[in-house]
Amino acid sequence: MSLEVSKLHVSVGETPILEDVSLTVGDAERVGLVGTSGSGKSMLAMSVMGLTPSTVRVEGSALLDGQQLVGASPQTFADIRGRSVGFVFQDPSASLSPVIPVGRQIERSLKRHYSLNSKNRRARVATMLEKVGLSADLAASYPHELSGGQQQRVAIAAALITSPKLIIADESTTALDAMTQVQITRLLVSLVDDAGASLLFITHDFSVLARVAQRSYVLGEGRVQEEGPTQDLLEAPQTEAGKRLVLAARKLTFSSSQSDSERRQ
Amino acid sequence: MSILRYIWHRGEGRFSLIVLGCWLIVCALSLVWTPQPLGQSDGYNTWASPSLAHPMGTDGTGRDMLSWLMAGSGTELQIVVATCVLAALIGVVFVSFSLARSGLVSEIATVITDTLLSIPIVLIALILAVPLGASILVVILSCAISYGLNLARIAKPQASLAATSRYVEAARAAGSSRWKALRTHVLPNLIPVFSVQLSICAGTAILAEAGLTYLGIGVPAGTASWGSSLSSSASFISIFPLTVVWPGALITVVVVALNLFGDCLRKAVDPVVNAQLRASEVRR
Repeated sequence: MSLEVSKLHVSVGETPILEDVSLTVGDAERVGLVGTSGSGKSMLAMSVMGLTPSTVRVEGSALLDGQQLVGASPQTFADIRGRSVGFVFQDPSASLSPVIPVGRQIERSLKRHYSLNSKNRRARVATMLEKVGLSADLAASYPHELSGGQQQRVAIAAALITSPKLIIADESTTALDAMTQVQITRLLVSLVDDAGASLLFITHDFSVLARVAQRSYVLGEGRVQEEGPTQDLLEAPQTEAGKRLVLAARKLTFSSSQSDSERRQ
Repeated sequence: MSILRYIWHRGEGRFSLIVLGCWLIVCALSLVWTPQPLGQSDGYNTWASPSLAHPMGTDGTGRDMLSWLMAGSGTELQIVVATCVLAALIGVVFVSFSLARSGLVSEIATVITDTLLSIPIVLIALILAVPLGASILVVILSCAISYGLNLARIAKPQASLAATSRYVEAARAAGSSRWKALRTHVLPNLIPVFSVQLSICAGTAILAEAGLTYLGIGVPAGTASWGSSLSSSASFISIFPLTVVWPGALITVVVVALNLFGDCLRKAVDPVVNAQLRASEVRR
């Protein structure tokens, strides 16, 4: 499934959030969107999928396999979301309802889009939980009974249970520790590749992006500052925004490896 | 069952369940049997002290206090149940309007709630009594309007917090409509607030019935209720204190039990607090 965003303008009142943003995610391609906090990364994903509040104005074009999403009806969005496009949000403890068992939250998209009976839905949930490396028994747990990593695995299971062809992962590893970040990114990549789906991976962390995306866009001040293969962007960023992000990623990697070696001594 | 079990295992919860259970049993019993017929009054035996024939004594018209209090328990139950159901409906409707996508609708709902909340319950009852006369309906409607709006006001911050939460956004990203996402995610978050507020509302409805009946706009004469038993004897408290003590003690015990029940219910329906609720989900 491909996503083609072109000349996207997003504004709140008179304040522009995104200006003239264009990007493409090809079929079965993993694309990164990197930028500092407040650069408009999440707003781009939300605007494309019609999840912005009514006060936000969205103009331009966003084609999902040729279907125009800008200005689409709520019914169109409701049909696409969860079935063709799966979302993984930033903070799993906030994106899972605290009063509903995780199993029921995972089966939500199935219930919405497919007419399966509850026995079949539960079987699919159990299979999906095992796919993301969790025990099927955890379906009855509430989010507060799970660790951050387990919660994010649940969020991934919820996003992938309908086998969507495009996954949007919005800062899906940001709230996790370094070790869990590696596990979750590996899991996400393997599941996306196995399903033959496309991935738009949104992050502010270049070091994570290198493991995930083949091609990346650097977003800064509401505009695409730079684009290209992730490896090239990491090795030789051309713009100021790109250089700052790469420098920060290197510093983080260096300081973490230094503190690791200090700890070992 | 796990909710009831949780409440039963707490001291205050057990007390509330026993009191409320006795109330229901007495209600059911009074439908088929009372120690003395309700219509019977003994003019030669007024303000009688407790005896074998009249275990709680008689009132100023010679009616058996125990029989009238038993029959009154049914009236109180009707008032409590109807008030709580109506108040919950009013609360949910106004909370839903206050969460409307349109800022204008939300603003109007908030202004209406705040304006009506400033009207005291007695004034609402007096206005309703004009077309309806003194009746149970006046008590129910005035309590439901007042407590329902209060409920909406108290639940609104919690509802707004849930409505703008990341998990509602996640539900919409999974294909749920805005209405469905709110229904599935906001309402469960309101249950703890509603359970506490409705239990308080149930208790205060009994107190309000006593007060409004005392003013002559509540339960009509001839209908058994704890409020009417209290109001008919209130002026004689210094001479025949028992005729006031019985309905007063009954109202106090039931109101306390309702409040304790609400407090325990709030904890029982919260999966973070109630491990038994989580265990029941595993068995599901």
